[in-house]
Amino acid sequence: MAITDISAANFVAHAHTLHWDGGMSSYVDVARLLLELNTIVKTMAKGNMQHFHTQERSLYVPLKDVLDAQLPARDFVNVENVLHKTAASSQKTDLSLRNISQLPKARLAKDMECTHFVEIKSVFHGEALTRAAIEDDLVKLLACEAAYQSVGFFALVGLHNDLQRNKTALQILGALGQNNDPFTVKTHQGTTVWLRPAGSYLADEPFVYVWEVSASNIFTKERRSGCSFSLFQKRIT
Amino acid sequence: MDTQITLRDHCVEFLPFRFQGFWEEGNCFLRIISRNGNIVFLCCQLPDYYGTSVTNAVESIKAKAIEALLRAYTDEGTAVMEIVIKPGYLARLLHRRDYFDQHAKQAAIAYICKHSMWIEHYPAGVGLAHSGSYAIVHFSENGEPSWNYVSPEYLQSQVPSIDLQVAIEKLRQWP
Repeated sequence: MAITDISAANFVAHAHTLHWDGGMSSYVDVARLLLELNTIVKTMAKGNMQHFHTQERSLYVPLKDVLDAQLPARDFVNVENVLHKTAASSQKTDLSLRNISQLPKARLAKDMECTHFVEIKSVFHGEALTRAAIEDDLVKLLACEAAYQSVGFFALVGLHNDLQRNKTALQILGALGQNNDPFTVKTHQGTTVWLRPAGSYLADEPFVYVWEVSASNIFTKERRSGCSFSLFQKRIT
Repeated sequence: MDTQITLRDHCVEFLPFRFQGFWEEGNCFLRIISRNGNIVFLCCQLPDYYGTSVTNAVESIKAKAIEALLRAYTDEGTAVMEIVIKPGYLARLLHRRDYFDQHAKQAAIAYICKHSMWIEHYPAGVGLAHSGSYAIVHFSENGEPSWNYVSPEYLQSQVPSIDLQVAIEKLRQWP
């Protein structure tokens, strides 16, 4: 059979870095970077993983540092951003990635625009997680998507035994680490949320799971788990 | 159009496997195993290598790996993957041979994407994880990869009888 001009690249490939006459753009896979929660927690635990406990909020700054290191500028990532544009404007998200044009703005600026929002839930030693708490995060990400046309990520990090103990609440997130296709969940308020499994870390504890969250099944249309930005653009004179 | 695909059991290794990196040509180790109609791609980061990583270039490596599989031959000289299309009378009248070749290749790529597992491996001491890492990389419908890091034991249980080990001494042989 002759090899024709149909390229496998047309079906599976999408360059992470693009070079063209006008400059160069790059693509950072945010979902994969969220798996670094495993390393962050292991570093905090200093080997004592079995009974490890920390507040979820203590993960934000180390994760911000991981993301900032991969993105084109420091302070690209906001911690506990206030969602001025949403109906519940007093709400905050755990982490968010600024639109690149918003870098000079103050962190709590009312007109701050973000492209990606991240909600985290942690389940460490002895902790309980309710289905309602998960639903609150998912609904918040949908509100962000509606207000900012942003991409939402939900990350779960926890110890195996504690995740098992909370498995009833976690059922809302589907078969953890076993499914790859987008699926829907219905919250108690009747909101439908689409989740796409976007990565997992199950090689050792703590386990990490990441989902991309949306109000509709838009995951087949375009790649959204990453953040694209121009590294430089040719000066137009 | 009736399309018949035959995938023969085979194992082929590339060291180095060259791919398009960000700035220049990249290199990695690639083992392609076809068995019982399924395919495992084991893609491994090389030691002492500072080019584009197998993680950052996963899409371009996969595209090239598929092309390599389509060109692979068994030791007996038969194609590892054989695609036979049986166009109807009308289709034969309407289309040139190129059209059927393209259809065959498209069908082969679709088959490979559906029946394959992509494994990304960093041997101990090569990546950030001291003891090395294995990740099953899933590609969504639009080609977006997602990484699922698993233990070697779990991975072996998913693909029993597939050799997932790559000796570091062997990898050090790359030019």
